Amino acid sequence: MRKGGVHLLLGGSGTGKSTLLRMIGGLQQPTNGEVRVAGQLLSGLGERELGQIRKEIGMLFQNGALLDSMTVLDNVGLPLREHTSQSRAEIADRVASVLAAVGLDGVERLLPSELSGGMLRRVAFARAIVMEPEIVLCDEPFSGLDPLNVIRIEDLLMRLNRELGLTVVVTSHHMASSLRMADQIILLRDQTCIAGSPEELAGGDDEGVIEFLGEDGRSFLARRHELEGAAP
Amino acid sequence: MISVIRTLGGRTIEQLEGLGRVAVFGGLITGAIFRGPTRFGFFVRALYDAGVLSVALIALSGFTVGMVLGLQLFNVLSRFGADEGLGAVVGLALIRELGPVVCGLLVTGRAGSAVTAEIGTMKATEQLDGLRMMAIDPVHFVAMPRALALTFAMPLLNAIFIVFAIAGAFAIGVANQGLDAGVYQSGLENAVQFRQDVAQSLLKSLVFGILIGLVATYKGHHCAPNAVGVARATTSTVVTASVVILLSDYVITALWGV
Repeated sequence: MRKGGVHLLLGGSGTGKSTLLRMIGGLQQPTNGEVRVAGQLLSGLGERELGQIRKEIGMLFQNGALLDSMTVLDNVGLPLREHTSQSRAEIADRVASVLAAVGLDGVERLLPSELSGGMLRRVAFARAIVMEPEIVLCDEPFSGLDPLNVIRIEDLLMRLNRELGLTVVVTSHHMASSLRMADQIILLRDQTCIAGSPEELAGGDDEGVIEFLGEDGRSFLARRHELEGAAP
Repeated sequence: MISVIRTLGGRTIEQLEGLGRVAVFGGLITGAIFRGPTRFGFFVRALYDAGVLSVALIALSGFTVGMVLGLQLFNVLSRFGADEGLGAVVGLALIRELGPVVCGLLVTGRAGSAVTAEIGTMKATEQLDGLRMMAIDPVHFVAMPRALALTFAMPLLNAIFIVFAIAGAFAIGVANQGLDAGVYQSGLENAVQFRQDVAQSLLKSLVFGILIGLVATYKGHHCAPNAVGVARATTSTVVTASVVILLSDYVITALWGV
């Protein structure tokens, strides 16, 4: 995967998309092959060395993985409190600005149990990006979100990608948003993968890819191709 | 025959491996205690959960156990005309043996199981993985404060249990059976030595606290990440910690004479 790219992991249920994300985060070891993050081989590293690498990675888990006993402010501010010397006021300011970026306001004092599913995912996303990591791993970032917030998160990811050179790896079944963002699609199936740019894969003759993208996905890519060609 | 031996051998190796993993986990917790930051806020909160919220159960259980013990012992001692020794016998039995053991079993059921269920649920909902991805050690952040809280809560709860149990025995022996209050109190005071009995009792309960904390946090951290896994781990904590308390009680009594 290229640094600074937006990579979309596609595949049916159980093909290993989430597992691949966990392997990139060093949470699971591959049974075959090796994983390198920023050129560093992950296998054989202890938790302390992995911790150094993970400071540059933000991960959005499928169910949010927020700490139940802590407020939204404490959850999102936790990485800052642990790894920076910022004051409580600075952390509160930074948390408020990240929450505003994901469309949340005035939820700092709430517990995760008091949030709706969509709000919970946005808080989790805020936590994933609060340290401005170099890599963001997003496991189904759009599931449970209303269309407005899908666009908001998508725009935020693309802006972070453009402005800060953030590398984004996304698993998603939300085809339109995923295809709009992706520089590269990696389709997992039958313990192998097919990778390429969206246009390459959509224009190819692989039946599995065509079937997975569906008519909507291919026509969307054709429109994106036209728009990009027409752009000055 | 060979398959029986193979199965037996396999199980033995499994158990030894399990013991090894517990020892390694204990080492990680010990290391985490001496590594910053202190997690004092989490420790206080865990101490409140394990300690303060257990006080009512411990006090009520202590009073009831004391009442039963007082009644039983008064009847038995009366047969030999030795009912004046009630205070001494109740005090020694409670302080040296019943206090730490019964309190340990109650804390296991009330607080140890809760710690396992909480950590297990955190594992099942990927909260522990979330901490790892934030470069935060879950043993340091989650297990260490809770294990320490159980360790420190045990001697305090043990003391409360003993005080209420002695009061329960007093209520039965004096108020109900007509024993003289001064006789009960002087018997208790003369029989119980602070260094030999009270301090050793608190030390024993401290050891039980360490064991409950270790078992409860280990089972939570190593459970299968689903509802069934959390339920099994919680049950396993109660069973394992109870057995460990009873076994270690014998070992401590045999070695230290407490």
